Amino acid sequence: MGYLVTLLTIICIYTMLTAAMDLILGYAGLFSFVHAALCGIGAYSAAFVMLKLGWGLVPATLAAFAVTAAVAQATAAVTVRLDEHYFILGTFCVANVILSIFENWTDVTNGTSGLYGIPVASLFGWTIAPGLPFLGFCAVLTAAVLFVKWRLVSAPLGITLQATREDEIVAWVLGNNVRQVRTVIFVIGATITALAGVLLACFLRYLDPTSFDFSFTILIWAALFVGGSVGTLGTIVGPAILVLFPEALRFVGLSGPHVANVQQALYGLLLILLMMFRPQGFFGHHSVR
Amino acid sequence: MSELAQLVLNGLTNGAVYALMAVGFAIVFNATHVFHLAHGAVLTFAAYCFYLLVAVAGLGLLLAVPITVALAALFGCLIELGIYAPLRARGAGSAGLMIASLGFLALCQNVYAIIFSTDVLTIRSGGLAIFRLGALTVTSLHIADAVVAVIVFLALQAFLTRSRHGRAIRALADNPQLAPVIGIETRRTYVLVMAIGSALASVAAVLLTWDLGVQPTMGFLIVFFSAVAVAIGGHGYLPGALVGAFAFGVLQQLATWQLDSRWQGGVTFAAVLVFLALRPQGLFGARLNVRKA
Amino acid sequence: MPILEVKSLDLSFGGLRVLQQVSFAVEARSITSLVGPNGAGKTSVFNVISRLLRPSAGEVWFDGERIDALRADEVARRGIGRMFQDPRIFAGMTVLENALSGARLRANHPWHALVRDRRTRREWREAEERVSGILDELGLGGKRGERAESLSFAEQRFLSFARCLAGEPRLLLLDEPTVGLDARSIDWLIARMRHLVAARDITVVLVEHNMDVVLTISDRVHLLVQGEVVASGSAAEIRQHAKMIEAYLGDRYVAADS
Repeated sequence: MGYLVTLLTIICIYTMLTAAMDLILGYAGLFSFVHAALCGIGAYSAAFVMLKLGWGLVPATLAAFAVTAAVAQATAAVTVRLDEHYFILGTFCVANVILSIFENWTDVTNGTSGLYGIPVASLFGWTIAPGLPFLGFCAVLTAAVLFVKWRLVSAPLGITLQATREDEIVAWVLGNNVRQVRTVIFVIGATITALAGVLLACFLRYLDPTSFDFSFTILIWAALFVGGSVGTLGTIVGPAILVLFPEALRFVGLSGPHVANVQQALYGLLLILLMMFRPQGFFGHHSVR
Repeated sequence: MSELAQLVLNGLTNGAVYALMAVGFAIVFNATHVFHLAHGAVLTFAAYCFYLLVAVAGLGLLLAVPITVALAALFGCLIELGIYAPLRARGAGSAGLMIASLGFLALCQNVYAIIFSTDVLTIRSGGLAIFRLGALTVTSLHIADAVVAVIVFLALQAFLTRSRHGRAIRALADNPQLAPVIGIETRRTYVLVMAIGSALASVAAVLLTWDLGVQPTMGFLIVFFSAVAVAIGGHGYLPGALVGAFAFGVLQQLATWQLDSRWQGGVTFAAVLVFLALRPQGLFGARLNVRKA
Repeated sequence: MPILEVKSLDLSFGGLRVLQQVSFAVEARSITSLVGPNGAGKTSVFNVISRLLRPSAGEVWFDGERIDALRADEVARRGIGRMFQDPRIFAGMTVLENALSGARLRANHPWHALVRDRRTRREWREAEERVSGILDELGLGGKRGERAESLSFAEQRFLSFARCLAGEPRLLLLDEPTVGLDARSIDWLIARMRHLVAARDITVVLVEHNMDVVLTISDRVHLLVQGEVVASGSAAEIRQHAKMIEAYLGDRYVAADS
């Protein structure tokens, strides 16, 4: 039972990350490679506030939002002008800088030794116990995120976002400041990612820089493309599949030192197969073309 | 000052290796418009081939290098025929191709890790021969990097300007719609381009493996370094990729000057970002701000 | 006072002089045509007005305001609508969504998308009605829910026209709107243009190769050759002039698109 609760909690958090990725990549067409790093910023910021300052969840979350949004704003300012391929590179560079900070700013992050002993989430003095209560808490927040996403992507903003993705020049000529639209949606997506990071910090009670490297971003991409971009059901189904599938593997007895590599190899293979045979994912409305 | 000069020298010789990768990446990108991240998988493949041929099979360099290059070229052709061409046939655009390419990179990287483990496998057990040039320390590898790079790029230049296939590649890069009209077989040229790009990657792989050894993640890092080099040089301009690679190599080394070396990665990429912010079109690229309807 | 004034525009691309001292004025509620051989720079004039390109010299004035230093979206929001040579509709979206993408609304702002107050919702409803009306007028009403890529070429043309109109422009820049259309569609389009000018107070500037259309509809015509305005006048006057040039210089004019 506790195992199922753990899985569902992870699915909630990943759903949040996938929802943010859908906003940024699915709707706005921005191939962000800095997603995992932004999640890490949210996680480490919250952990710092809770562990080193001893404050509760609300200030931790606000701190996470503030720092991540600032970084996202700066990132967008540099990269949004670049075309799609160079956007990937720009975000890759930013991600590297952030990862370097995670590893080396040991006063705050404890570097590669890892940050242990993050306190249990406490909201206004009430402790949210790990296990079922925390799952409930995550589920509520995930539902809120999905609601926010739904509001943002229904017409007409959703139409505008997709227009900037489909044909940037036409979008300009229709009266949209494409740069500003992209920046705003990128920052919003980053804020949602930060929230997921906060929950991760509270859930794992331990952080280390390697959790937020590029294989994590690739995982979220895979979750997005499996579920399908531009759609609500897909943002839940994708992560669910990606979380449950490795567990199914473990059930079948596939374990050992190479489990992580097998998983990640399969994610890579999944991306290839998806592009080849089902670019719109299982429930998406838009094929990444 | 001599410390600075040494760093620049190291940077230039690293840059030579990056340049081999970057030019390979740029050739593929310019001609086929695929953001060929799987280029990194080719690098690692070539590196492991070289390792197996030299350290396990005991072949000498004279045999191992050509075999590695040939195998890498073949690997590149298989990627084109097995992944990119079928995707194009199904209507995939540049985004879909890039994602599949990234997927292949992730797949290969982890397969290598499963087969060979994540340890670094080295070839040479001893140090390198060292020469002193004034205050500078020059290793045999420095010289090898430089010499190999010069030879390879001169050969490439000759190929692209003089041979019929080379001109076909340039035509395809300059004007993709017009090329078939004047009789250039696009699909075959794509395969050729991939073969050449992969061959270049394999040369880089040989040099890197001799220097540092091989590990599963090397391709990922270096392919992104080469993409960054192309961005620095400017989109669509082959010599720009070369210059960008050397610039990146030197930048990486300078990032350790008077700074704690553990910040090398962060400082390097922060500098790249500042550069891209100020000059998004790269050193030689056409102005990106000019948007044409 | 003319609604649009272009003054001494110069434009160069990598050594190639695309526009040289291009000047002309467009009166409000008129239909003006830009004609000339391929490569003459007609589309480039539009690109400069829409601010997709920056001229090396010259000024563009719209409704008494200088616009050549504004951003492309700012120019569009001041009421200049643009149609391209290719329909450039958004393939994956429905016909209605495509048309709606041209409307500029409060709800486009993320805050208003989240918190939908009454004003936002009302504006959105009105836009939907208005845009549906435009689609009906252009004969696309029945295909509202279909994916835009399933439309025929002519229908896609009309859709991009509808998208343009959804923004309630005061000036329309139409780049070869009749290319690829059959005679009936062309007649229809001409009738719509006339109606727009008369009933909705819109000014139209066309780039056109079809001289019949130009003769039928234009109040004024400007002839562009190799980046310069060579002649301006009524449609009949320019036709004479164009024939002379064609006869003199022949077909050497088929150059790359501007």
